[in-house]
Amino acid sequence: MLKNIRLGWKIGGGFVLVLTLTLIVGIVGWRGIESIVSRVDKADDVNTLVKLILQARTLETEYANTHSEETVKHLQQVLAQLKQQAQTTKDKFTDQYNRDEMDQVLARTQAYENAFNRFRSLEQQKTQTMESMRARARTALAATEAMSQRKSVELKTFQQANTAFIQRKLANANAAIALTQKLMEAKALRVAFIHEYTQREFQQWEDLNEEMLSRLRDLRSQFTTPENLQHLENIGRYYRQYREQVIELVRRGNGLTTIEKERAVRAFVEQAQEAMELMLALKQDQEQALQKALNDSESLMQDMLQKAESANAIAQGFLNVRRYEKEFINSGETDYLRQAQSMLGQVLASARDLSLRFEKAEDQQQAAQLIDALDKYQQELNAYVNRHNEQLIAEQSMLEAALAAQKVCQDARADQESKMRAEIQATLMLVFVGVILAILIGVLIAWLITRGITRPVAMGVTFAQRLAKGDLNVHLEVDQKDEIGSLAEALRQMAAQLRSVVENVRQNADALTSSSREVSATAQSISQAATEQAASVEETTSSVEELNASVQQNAENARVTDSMATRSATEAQQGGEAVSRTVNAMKQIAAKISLIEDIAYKTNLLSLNAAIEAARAGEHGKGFTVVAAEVRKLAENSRVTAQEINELATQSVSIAEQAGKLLEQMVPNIEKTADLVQEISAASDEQASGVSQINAAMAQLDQATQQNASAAEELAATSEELSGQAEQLLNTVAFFKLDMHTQARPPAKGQARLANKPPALPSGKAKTSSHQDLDSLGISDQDFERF
Amino acid sequence: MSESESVPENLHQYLTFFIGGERFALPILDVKEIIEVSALTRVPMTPNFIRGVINLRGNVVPVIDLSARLGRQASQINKRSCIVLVELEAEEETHALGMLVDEVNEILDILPGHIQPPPDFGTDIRTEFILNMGQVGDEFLILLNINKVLSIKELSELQALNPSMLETPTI
Repeated sequence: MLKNIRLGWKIGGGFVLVLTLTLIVGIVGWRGIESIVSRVDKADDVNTLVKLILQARTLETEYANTHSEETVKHLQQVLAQLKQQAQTTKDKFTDQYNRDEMDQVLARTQAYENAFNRFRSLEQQKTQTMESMRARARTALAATEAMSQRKSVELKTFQQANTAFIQRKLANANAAIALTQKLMEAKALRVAFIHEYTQREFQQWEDLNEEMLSRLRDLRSQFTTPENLQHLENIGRYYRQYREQVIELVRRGNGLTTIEKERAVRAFVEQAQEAMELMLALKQDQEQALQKALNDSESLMQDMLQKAESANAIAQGFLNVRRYEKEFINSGETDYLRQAQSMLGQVLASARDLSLRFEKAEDQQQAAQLIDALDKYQQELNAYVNRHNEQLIAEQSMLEAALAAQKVCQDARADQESKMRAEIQATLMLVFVGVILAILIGVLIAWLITRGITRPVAMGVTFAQRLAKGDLNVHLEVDQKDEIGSLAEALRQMAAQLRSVVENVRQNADALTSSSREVSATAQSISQAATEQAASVEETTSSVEELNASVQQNAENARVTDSMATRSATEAQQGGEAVSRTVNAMKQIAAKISLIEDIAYKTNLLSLNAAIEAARAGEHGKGFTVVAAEVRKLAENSRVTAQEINELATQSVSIAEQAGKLLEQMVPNIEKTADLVQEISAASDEQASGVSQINAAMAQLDQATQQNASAAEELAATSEELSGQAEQLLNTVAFFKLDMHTQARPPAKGQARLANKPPALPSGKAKTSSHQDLDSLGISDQDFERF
Repeated sequence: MSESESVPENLHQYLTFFIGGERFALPILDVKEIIEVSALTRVPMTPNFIRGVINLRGNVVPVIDLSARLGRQASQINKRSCIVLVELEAEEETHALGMLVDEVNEILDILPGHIQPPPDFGTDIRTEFILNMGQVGDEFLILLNINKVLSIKELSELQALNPSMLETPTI
């Protein structure tokens, strides 16, 4: 079957098959890559989901830190994007398992969003709680600060008051001591001037006295207690008495006796003693009072200091509570919370303790307010802690949801990747198998086609080679319908034709051999005939010379005739012109005659009118009628005559015209005659030259005839040679081997061939001569035409 | 007509003329004059057989194309064409009328013995126009009845037309 398909179809079909296989492999590869691409796309989607989840987590953390609404918005956007992405990815998936996964992601995302919303609402609540807590804290802080402020102010005022009091007491005591010292000085001075009176010392003493008295006055203004005032009154009184006695003594001075003096001295010394004692008592009293005042103020101060300290400690403690609380809020560490709570408990306890210690109602009220504020603060703090704990739970659930979603996504991604890997594997396998198959089939087809082409071609080549060696008996065993088959058929036909040609050549060469002998004989006779021909050619030459003379005479006559004809033509033309002039004259005569005819008609008209008038005139017009009739007849006659002349003129015109026409026709005829005669003259000249040429030709012919005779002899010799060459040709053709079968094929002309192979020496000259011989013999033309 | 009785030989004289190659004849006393064709003034809105009017010594004379009047083609004017003036009496008035003929021939004497009545049919002319048939030699001449050819009725139409003709072109 494959043998009978055309070569182009075979090769083309093979290529188409290989291309189809390649296409199939390509399609398989393409489909595999397509599915991988879709896998990659899905994995990418899942990655996007994970990325979005992570982004959401980041935003969530950011929100936990900043609490900005913008972050919330952003997060919501991310969540919406996430959901949409999950939905899109779900739509992309075809596997129910993956779709369920995506549903889970959606559910988790929803849970995450809910948890976040709860987290956010809790955050808001927390913020609110914190706000109120802060307000409470501020109130409590204000209360503690107010209290401590108050306490410190109280302390300060007390301290100031106490200092003034003590200073006063101290001044009193100092004044009393100074008084005592002045008294001592005064005593010393007095002793001095008593014993040895000098005006200067007395004056000093007086000054001291004045000073002392002024001091006493000053002291009186300072003292408040009536007891002390009495003391001062007494001191003053005693001292004045003392002074007066001293002055009395001094005034009397030397007039007194020693006893009197002593008496007087004793008296004022007693007075002085008295004052001194009083003064010492005052001094002591003052010192005692000072001591007491000092003691009292110290204990009071202690108490106050303690309270102020407690208040300060409360304020400090509460500040610490706030600090811890802030730390807790900021860090979320429960240690801080515990510290804050314990500190708050301590603060509360100390506040309660302090309130118990307060005696003043004002203070107590303030303390109660503080406690209340602290209580409320504690409540708020607890509420905040609860919110915080709840938020932690929400965050936990949020985290779980996010982690779960992330995990699902990661699972899905891993799933996608594993599927993708499996698909890549499968595609690779398919492509590999396809390529191997394509290569195998391609190689098979290539082998088949190549074998189908090369084998018969090789057979054909062997056939042709054997043919070239002269073996015409070979057979070509190729039976195919394709181009190679037809090539083989052509080769076979060529071999067959070659066989018949060779056979014919052999036959003809045989015939040639015999014919060439005949040619030889014929050539001899030709030679003889040529000699005869030469003689007759000489006779012809002399005749031609005679002919030449007569032709030249003819040419002379023709020239004379030519000049005569030319003259006749000119004369005929002149005749024609004369005739045309005659015609014109005739026509003018005719026109004139028609005028005469018109005159005759008019005359006739007049005569008719006259006749009519005459008829109308009746009898009187009778003679006139006759005249009119005569005139009319005359007119008629002249008219008739004119008409006749007219007719004659017209006839003459036509005759003259005919003559003119004839003459005109004659002129070209004569001219033509002249031309013809000229031609004859020229032809005669040509004849003359032609005859002389013939003459020359005859001479040549004579020569040629002589040559012919010698050539015929040569021909005879050549035909001898030809027969020898025909034999050689036979030998040459014997190179081709023909078997008996093929010899039997040509019709009834088989002849025994020479078996030996003499060397073939075909020379160009021999070939041409043999051709000439063949042509001259006319033997082989038909045979050649058959091929 | 009264003259014709007093001069009987004149009754036998006839004027012959050609119309469209045929010879017709008129009694000579009906003819007033033969004139050559001079300037013909065409009158619009007239029947085709009225060729127009001519100035005859200062008088307006209508010209009738006899060929057209006798139901043939209008005649072509050549140098032999003539106008034969005739007089007609109608309603106590004498009218001069011109008849356009191709050529006048001669005056012939036709004896009453050679006059035949008109045939019933066989000619392409309305027989009412034929007064008689006159024999001259071998051939017969048609003697036209001029009163029929130019009938009173048609003359009156002509008369009626004349004033309107004068006015029509101006309108």
